[in-house]
Amino acid sequence: MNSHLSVAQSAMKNSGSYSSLEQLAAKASFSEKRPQKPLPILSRPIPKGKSEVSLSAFSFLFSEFIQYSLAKVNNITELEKRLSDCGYNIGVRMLELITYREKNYKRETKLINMLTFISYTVWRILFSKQADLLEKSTDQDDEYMISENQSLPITKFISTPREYSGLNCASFVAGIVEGILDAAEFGARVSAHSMPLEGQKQMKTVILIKFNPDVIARSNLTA
Amino acid sequence: MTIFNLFIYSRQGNCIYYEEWNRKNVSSNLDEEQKLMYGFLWQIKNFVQKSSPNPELEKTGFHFFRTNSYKLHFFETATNIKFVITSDPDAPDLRDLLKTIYKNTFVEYVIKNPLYTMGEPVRCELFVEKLQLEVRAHTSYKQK
Repeated sequence: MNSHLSVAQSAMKNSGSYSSLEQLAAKASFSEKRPQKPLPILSRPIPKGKSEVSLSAFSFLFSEFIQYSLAKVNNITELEKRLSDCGYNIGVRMLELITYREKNYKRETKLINMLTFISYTVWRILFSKQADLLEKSTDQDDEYMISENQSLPITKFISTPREYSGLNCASFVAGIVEGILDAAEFGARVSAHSMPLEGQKQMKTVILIKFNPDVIARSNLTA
Repeated sequence: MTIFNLFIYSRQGNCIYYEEWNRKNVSSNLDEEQKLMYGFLWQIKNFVQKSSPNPELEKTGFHFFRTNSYKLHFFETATNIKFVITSDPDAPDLRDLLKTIYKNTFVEYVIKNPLYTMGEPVRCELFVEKLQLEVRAHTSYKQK
């Protein structure tokens, strides 16, 4: 290939003015193709947010985060707390961003609307799918559940060994939900659980939302 | 054609996973057998490298060997994790199977699992489940 090129170049040199024109043309086209300088980050529009990240890369990051946290805690509850705290900060920011991008600066004020907003819009942005099921607890007035029949994408590769039984890394997602609800003035305690699914080996993931009494009282007043 | 058993060795040389399918003889001491297998692999790898016409080439590991009664396939990753599978002698080259096990099952469900410590025996449920699916679905698995 190289030898061909040099032959071609020498041929061009020999043919005088013709080659210089050719070179000029080549230069012109090159300058057109030069990439534009990217906009400074503050000048870029915020709504350009439809981007996906590699699940594999994220899994490695998440895995490293869990291992780091695991080295710092004494028991499973503390680990779940750490994961949840990390998610909380994300949730607070997510609500801000999503209300700007998707909801035209309006945020939900009704409890049910807020929950559907989480299980549709937020889920779609986080996992590019809707939550499988959103349900209200039958015996507790203040408890709602978002359940996923399969494990969430972020916990897809994680199998919990026996010594960590009860640990669910979806606590991170529970933290995100808690952050969103808290930022929207729906104080709640959110936790993640694995539950066996009838007839299937795999567990379903349940995000349990328990609202504070004042939130329920308020929603009863407005209803 | 059928598959007998699978060994996975960590880079330290410990057997981190062992599984058997249609194995015919029963091992009296599995631990000893795993160590012997590693010693044998180590020796044969060295010998193969030494007897190679260009021994300076690092990756001249062997691919498989065959006896009258079985065939042993060997695959070593760039990170020195060793995968060994034994099958009956008529089986084709199963290194592709070992590579898919490594790529689609081991990396996904063991390496990406934060609750697994490197070099420890593998006890991840998801890994075992997917491995069973993978091996049982393979064309060489069917019993005679």
